[in-house]
Amino acid sequence: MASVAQQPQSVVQPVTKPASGIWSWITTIDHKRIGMLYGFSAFFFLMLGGVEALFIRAQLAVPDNDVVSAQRYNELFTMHGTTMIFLALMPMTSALFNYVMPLQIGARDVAFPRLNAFSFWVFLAGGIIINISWFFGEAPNSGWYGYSPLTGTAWNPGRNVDFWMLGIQVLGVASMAASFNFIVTVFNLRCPGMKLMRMPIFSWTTLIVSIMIIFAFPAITVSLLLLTFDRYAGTGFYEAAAGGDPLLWQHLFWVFGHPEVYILVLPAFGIVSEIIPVFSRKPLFGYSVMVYATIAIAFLGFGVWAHHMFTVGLGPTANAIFAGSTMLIAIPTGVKIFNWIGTMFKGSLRFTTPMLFAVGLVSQFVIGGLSGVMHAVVPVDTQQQDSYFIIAHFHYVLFGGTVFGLLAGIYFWAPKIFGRIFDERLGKIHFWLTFIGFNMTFFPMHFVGLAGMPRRYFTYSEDSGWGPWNAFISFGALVLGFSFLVFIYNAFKSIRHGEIAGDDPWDAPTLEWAVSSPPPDYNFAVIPTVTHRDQLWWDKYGDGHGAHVSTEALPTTAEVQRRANAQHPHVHMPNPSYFPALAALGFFIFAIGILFLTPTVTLGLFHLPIVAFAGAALMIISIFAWAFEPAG
Amino acid sequence: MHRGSTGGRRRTLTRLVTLLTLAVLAAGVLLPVVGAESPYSTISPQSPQAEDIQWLYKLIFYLSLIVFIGVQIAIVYTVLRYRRRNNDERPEQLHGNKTIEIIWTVVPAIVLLAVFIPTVRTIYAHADQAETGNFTVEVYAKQWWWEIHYADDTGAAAGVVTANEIVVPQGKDVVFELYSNNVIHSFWVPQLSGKLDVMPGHVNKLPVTTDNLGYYFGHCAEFCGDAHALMRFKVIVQPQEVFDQWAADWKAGPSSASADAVPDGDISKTPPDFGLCLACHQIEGTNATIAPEGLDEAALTDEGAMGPAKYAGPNLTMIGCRTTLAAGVLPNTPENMAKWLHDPQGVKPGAYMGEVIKKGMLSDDQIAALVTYLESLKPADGCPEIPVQPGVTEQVTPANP
Repeated sequence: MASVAQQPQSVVQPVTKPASGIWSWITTIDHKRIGMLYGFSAFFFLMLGGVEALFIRAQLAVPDNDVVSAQRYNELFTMHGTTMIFLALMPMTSALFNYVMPLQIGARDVAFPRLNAFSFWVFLAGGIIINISWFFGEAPNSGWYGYSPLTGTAWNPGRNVDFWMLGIQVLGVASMAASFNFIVTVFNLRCPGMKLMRMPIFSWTTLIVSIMIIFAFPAITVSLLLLTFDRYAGTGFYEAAAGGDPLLWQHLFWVFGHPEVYILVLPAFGIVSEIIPVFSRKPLFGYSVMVYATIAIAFLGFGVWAHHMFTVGLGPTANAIFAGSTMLIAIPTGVKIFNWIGTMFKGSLRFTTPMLFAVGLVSQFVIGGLSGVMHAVVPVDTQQQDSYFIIAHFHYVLFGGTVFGLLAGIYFWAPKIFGRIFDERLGKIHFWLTFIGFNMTFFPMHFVGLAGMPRRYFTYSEDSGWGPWNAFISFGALVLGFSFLVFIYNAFKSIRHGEIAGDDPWDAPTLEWAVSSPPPDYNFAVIPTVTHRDQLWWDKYGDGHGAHVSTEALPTTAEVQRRANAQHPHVHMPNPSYFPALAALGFFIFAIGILFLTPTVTLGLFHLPIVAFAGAALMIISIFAWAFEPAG
Repeated sequence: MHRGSTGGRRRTLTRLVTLLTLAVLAAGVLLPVVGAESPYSTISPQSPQAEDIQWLYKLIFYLSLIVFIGVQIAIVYTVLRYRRRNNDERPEQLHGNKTIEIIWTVVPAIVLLAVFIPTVRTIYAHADQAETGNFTVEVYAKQWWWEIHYADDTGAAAGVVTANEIVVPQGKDVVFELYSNNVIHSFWVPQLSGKLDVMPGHVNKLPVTTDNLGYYFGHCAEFCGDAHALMRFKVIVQPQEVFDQWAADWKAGPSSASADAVPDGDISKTPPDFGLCLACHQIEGTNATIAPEGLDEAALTDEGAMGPAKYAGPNLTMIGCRTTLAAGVLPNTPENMAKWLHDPQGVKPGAYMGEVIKKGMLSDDQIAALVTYLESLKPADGCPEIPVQPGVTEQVTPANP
């Protein structure tokens, strides 16, 4: 496996100009390009999930509406949830992990660059598998948490569930591979002096979230495998009539599903923890407490899954215990909120677009956090579970938290990635439209939830009294949708014509701002050495009391990079390879072969699905080829 | 890096932030009020259990409101007070403050403990009530309707089987026992209690003390397939004597009101056009007794055909007195009954009845005969009056034939 050379003097071959063209993107193993591939794919899926949401809102805008049929509606909300969680938000965090984390820890790439490429292509394969179901008229239709036995063949004989089940299995492989990669990278490729407790918080969340994925995804892999057996082989793991138990699915699913929530939101917390100090000109308040709080949330996140099951009848003792553990999580989460405010307090605040989104997260996540505590109160939860109150709650967490955080991160790191600053005027318009549209859409959902409207209803009667607020919500969704058009326009415009960023447009303290924008493909001409947390600030401002300011004799971290680059360093980077993409293609064919199971070849007693075998063979051969291919 | 705000724009922005914050706060204060008007309102309790929940909700809501307002004020104050005035300023580089960090860890912990204790007490109190009821109603959730069986401790009603309208006497500690032989559903009458899921292979029990006369709207709260949104029901709390009469009427079967709708006036027989219906529907006191009820298991037969878990349909005894058809989808009128019989899946997507009775399969004459018969299934002296509870649901009067 090609690991990245850490020695600055590893001079092997002359530097070539960065390759361009489609082939260079297919074969790339550069963490920055892979990050961009993740980012653009995730954004595409985000738009797709958004359009699905707009269809949902169109249907619910008035009582007894018939924009879509009941069946289509069920497919829309299933795909909206599945798309947003697995295909938009997770890969968008992965995009930033990929692009930013190696730069932040002073590394030249991730530990396993080709595995990284493989992760991306497998993710794309999974996204395609789930979405091609639309073209067969059999989109997944059982909700993103796919409760058995509704996913069983007796109640769902079509291929809808199969697309979903196999697609998510494939996505799981991508997430696991990426997570192992990030963990190894953080533990092994930090530059000299980058102790764990000097590491930027965003890199910390990369590490912690990756560890969470490693522990959470096996649960859904197993639960989906059992479902596969139930559907393909007639076993009855989840069928009460066959001696199985639908509760088994719920436990397995939420043992994955709850940590998944933190997998989605902790990266946003990491992003905000980078941005608020920069635009407050103050170090993060309580850095070590923030690290411990993140670890605490991650750990407790595995002990609260049954709060999704307060209404299934687990009994009073289980409900009481999970009520307690769920309330506990509020404590480290609250500490984070207070520490962000503490960072801004007595700071010198500048409201750029990234800062607006970051402060937006702090303010809006509080609402989702507080309604989360309401749900920990089990009797109250029995009135709110599966109602629009829950929809409001988790959109304040996943939109007010994750999406605000990701948008903040995109505006913050765009200058590094594209070399140009996203237009601030359009950015501010985007922020306020998002903020207003978001609250118009999701805040009234609390009201319809309290008025008893259950989620996943394709229609409702006029008598219910839910009509007026639903019309308002649908209008808010249009505002929210429009805000993304502003963002797209801004991105298109700014990537080509935006103000040139320079290395460090925000006066930020972390290592990614010590290199050019965009960074050279080897990132660091010389592997940096850090002596302090917030190294770049230490270089420039010392400790804030006049001690230690870099001089000509003691050049700043950024100056070291500039000087080394000026000498045209010959940094050896591993060669591009098409085998990771080819292996992912094999995996894709394998999954499709299992989906359709035809054509088959008969071998004695067995009817073998030949497409699946061909796909598996292609995957195995490609992985072998990549293992034996010289790193270059 | 001198882009962005001039003084005027900054002031506008500041005002905007303040206004928005105030708007959000106002919305927050409205939160407990908005939504109380719906017949499905979760915050208009009509039973002791729902009132317990309401008490806890108010506790956690007002605590949350205090935290919310406090945090938002802190954010808005900090944002307005510490804007950068001078591009050269560099604030004191504070890294943290142990005392204050301990305070904002410990104080929330204490507040949460204050919520946790009454939470646990209520959890156990309701669990105890589920074991100490004196009136047991078995609810079998189907795709997409509710079958109701009255257990032995229900007095006059023991053995009664009905659908979608749960009549119970006032002043009882009712326990709803929830069963499913198909997918997961959730039994939810917001004004009477929180929801409880109906899990295949498990029996869940939901206690509701019927203090207040009236009818209460319920619906399914766990996604259960195509017509999940059309799986409504009612709980009707009647005075004991009305309830007893209702049970007696049910057990008597068709009354003399049906005499004109059946051949030779023999009310113990169903009319010939009902022949197709017999496989799925029972009618007490007639020859319609073969349809499956309760937990008849298989969804599919060995040949892959529709099994009893799918084709079992509602017991139609006294259907003339039900307020709605197809689990709360249509008011029970002769026109709607005809509409339903003409095209079940057009009224209710996915309804299994539509796999047997395709659109237009029944002739107009057959439909007319069936409607006449079904609407005649009620006591000769009329249906029991349905009480309207004081207050919130008066505006939604059920069609009372």
